[in-house]
Amino acid sequence: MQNQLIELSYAIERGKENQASSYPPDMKDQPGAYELTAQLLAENVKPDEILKQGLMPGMQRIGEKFAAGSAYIPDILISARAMKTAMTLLKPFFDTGEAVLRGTIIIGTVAGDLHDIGKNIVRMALEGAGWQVIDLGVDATSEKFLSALQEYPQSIVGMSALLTTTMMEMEKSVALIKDKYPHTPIFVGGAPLTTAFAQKIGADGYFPDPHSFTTHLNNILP
Amino acid sequence: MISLIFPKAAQFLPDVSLVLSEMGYCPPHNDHLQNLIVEKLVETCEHTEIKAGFFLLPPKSVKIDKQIYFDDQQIFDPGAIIISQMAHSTSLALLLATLGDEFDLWARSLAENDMLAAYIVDIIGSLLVEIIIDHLEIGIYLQAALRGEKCSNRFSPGYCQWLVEEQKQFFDLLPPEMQFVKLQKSSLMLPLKSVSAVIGLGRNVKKGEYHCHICTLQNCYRRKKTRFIL
Repeated sequence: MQNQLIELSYAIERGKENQASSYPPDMKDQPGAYELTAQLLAENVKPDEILKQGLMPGMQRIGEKFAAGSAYIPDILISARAMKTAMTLLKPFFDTGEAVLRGTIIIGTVAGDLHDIGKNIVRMALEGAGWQVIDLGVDATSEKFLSALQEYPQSIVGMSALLTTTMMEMEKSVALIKDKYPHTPIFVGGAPLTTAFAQKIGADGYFPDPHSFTTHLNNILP
Repeated sequence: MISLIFPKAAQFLPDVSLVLSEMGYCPPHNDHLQNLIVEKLVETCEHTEIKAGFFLLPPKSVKIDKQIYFDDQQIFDPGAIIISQMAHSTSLALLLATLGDEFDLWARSLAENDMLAAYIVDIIGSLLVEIIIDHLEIGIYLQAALRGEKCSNRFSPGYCQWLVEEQKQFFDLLPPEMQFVKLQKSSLMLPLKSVSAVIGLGRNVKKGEYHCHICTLQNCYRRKKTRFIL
């Protein structure tokens, strides 16, 4: 079983989605993340074990390669796609509680801003790291964040902004959330942002890329 | 003077190696990714309606002091870096280019099911609109040279310490023929893949060293862009 979990984590790291997928070429005709997950489930391996010892380590390794400069955003997305395919088999077990995700994070691009590519990449990286993601999309007002927090009160919040003007909207949203949910961690990201800005507006951190963000979250909630 | 172009994307598509390099890759390249990029480059042609052009303010209508004046009215306050680069300009060229709404819709629809494709398309879109602006810039340089004028570098609100809020003044100066991009209250341009820029022109303009070398803004996203933009 241990070998199969290692094989699964390797399939995730390399982005081998299923047996039919032609990528990566050196793994042609080999079982992919889908078949390996199905096989482990058929052998009664606990879904939680498959998630934490098979899928997540693969995503962790591709993230580490990204941090080291030997992998790039497309590599993370290819791995995340393989992970997503495997997760379709695990989904019923999350619903029954037999497998447990790390926690919930509410993300959105702040009001007035319609950029979503970065936020979407972060969403995939978070899902790959075993988080439930509530994506509020773009142009997410403070009210939308507050309403999502009412539904998922134990969540972490992640906000993105791509313009210096919408950074100000972020400041407003952080203040309103902290006023009502003072213990909710709020993290921010986006091209014009800095750690100093995050501190100034009362956010709990700024992260420049998806890997550093997921690594931090995994450290505070392993 | 207004000059407009409505080219087909195929004329200006970035090459595959440029797209890969923008993503951070160095040769040798991954075949799978190259094939995907080629596929998306071809599809880009079906999802763009490029509109681009520039507007030249009349000769000798512009004065550069600590701000930029047009007909003795202050129009831009782009900060010391750009002012020094635009010194001696007596006219301005206002450049605008967009890939059109359809491109945004396509990119958004891809993001629902295939983030890798959406990411590739986003990179292609950013490069394509910059290439179109580069093309306009060359046209401005050539026309200026014929008049015995020189050009400054190209600057955009939101870069080099120039506040993005000054997009409003930029759009206020555009003639009706160039109102093909909508400016939002947040200074966001729609369609998203649009670029605005200003070039200073004049007989005594000196083209200085470009952008990041002369700017002290360490956290500028132009500077950080080489790695990843959240």
